[in-house]
Amino acid sequence: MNQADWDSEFAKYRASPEFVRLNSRMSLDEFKKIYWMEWTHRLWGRVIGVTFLVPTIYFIAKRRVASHMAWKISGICGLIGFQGMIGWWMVKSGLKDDLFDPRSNPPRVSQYRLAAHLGIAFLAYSAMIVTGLSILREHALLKDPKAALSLIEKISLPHMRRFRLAATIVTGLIFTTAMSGALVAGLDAGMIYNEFPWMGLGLTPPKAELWNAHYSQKQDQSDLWWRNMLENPSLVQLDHRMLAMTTFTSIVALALWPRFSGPLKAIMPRKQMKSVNAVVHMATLQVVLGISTLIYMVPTWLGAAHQAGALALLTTAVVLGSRFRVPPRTVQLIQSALKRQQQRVSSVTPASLKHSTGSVQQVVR
Amino acid sequence: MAAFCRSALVLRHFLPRITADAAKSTRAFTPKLFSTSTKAAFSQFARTRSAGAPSITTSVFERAESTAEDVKSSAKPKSSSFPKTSHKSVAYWLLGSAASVYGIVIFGGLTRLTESGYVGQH
Repeated sequence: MNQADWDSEFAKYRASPEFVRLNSRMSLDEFKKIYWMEWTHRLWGRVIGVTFLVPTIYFIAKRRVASHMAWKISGICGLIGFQGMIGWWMVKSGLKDDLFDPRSNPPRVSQYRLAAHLGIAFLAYSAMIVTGLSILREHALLKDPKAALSLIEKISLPHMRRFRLAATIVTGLIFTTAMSGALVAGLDAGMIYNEFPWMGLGLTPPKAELWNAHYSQKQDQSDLWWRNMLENPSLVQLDHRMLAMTTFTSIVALALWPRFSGPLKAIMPRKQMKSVNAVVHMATLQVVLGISTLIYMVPTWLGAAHQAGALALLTTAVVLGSRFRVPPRTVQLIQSALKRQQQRVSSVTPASLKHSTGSVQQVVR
Repeated sequence: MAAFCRSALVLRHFLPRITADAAKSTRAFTPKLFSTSTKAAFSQFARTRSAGAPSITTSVFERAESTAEDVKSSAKPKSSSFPKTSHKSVAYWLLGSAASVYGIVIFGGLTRLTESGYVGQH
């Protein structure tokens, strides 16, 4: 971009509510920096879109995926496209004319759209991880069908099923906490009550501040509770804190359960136990990051680290869940692979045993 | 982007017809590989299916799902039917894409924290 292009882009930005209200002293150099950030983010999004769409078409056309997997990767394609549209919608919401109204809050991207944008990103990410791991798991299980079936038997035991349900609930809690964090970010609600565990004079701000009539937009105040939950920075921050503490406690309980419960301790395999440990370690780190971000009044690098920690924590939880699940389709494949393996072993002489394992792998492909 | 993905889904169902032996198929069907009108393509699809075909109002996915099963069960050369297990390269590509999404999430957070998200609107 030449100087004339930069001047024209800077002129357009100077007309925005964001500039007029917050950044009126910005120089061209500073503008170039933030322009680059936004431009790179959009470019990266488009790159992700293309690097996902083109291989999807290729894999389906060349029949490298199972038919159910073809549906899944097409679905993720749609999710990515939807994400791009939300991103566009998000930036648009920052430029509404009524934001010039001096009575309104400083111009911000609507915290709802920010949460939607983050939510879809987390969902697309989780979907990619889960489907990718499921393919690798299927290959690993089919390599040794006998061991696979004994593992499947183990994770179908009632105690394990209960544990798996708990792990699923924890995953849901982590996701919910992350979304409440997006609301905090959207409202800049991390800039108040920069202390822990107190919030002002008590553990929570006063009730009148949390359920503030100012945020209600209806005459009869019937929308008081949800308007405050989503738009009052004090309540939004309190909700995030409460969710975070609940999630952390649940994760610690989940990690202690197989250590102290006799029946579960006896049957929990090592790989799954390692996964549980990963979740609790990451959760501890995330809590440290969160409290630090708050008490240091959200320096940029800490805020970004806290967000990275959230997605890392979600990853550990999703991986934990996947290690307790083997879909019926895969179980069927394992059973037929075992049958074929047994037929071959029983019908060949010791000399040709080498060939039998080779053909099992051929069938797997 | 959404329309592009829909076209990709449509494209997928045309491909088996191209590689299959036309004489074996009971459906007279001319594939329109580069049709831009997915609606027209789907209605043509529905017309050429055998008796008892679902009406236009049924879910697109129901129709596509049963067609996929037809593709698998009818006598077709191996190259046009889906494998039982997906290739490992698909898994690596998915995990690599996930890593890229992780990166863009961090970058998006930084964009937000540096208030860079207001740039570039006309």
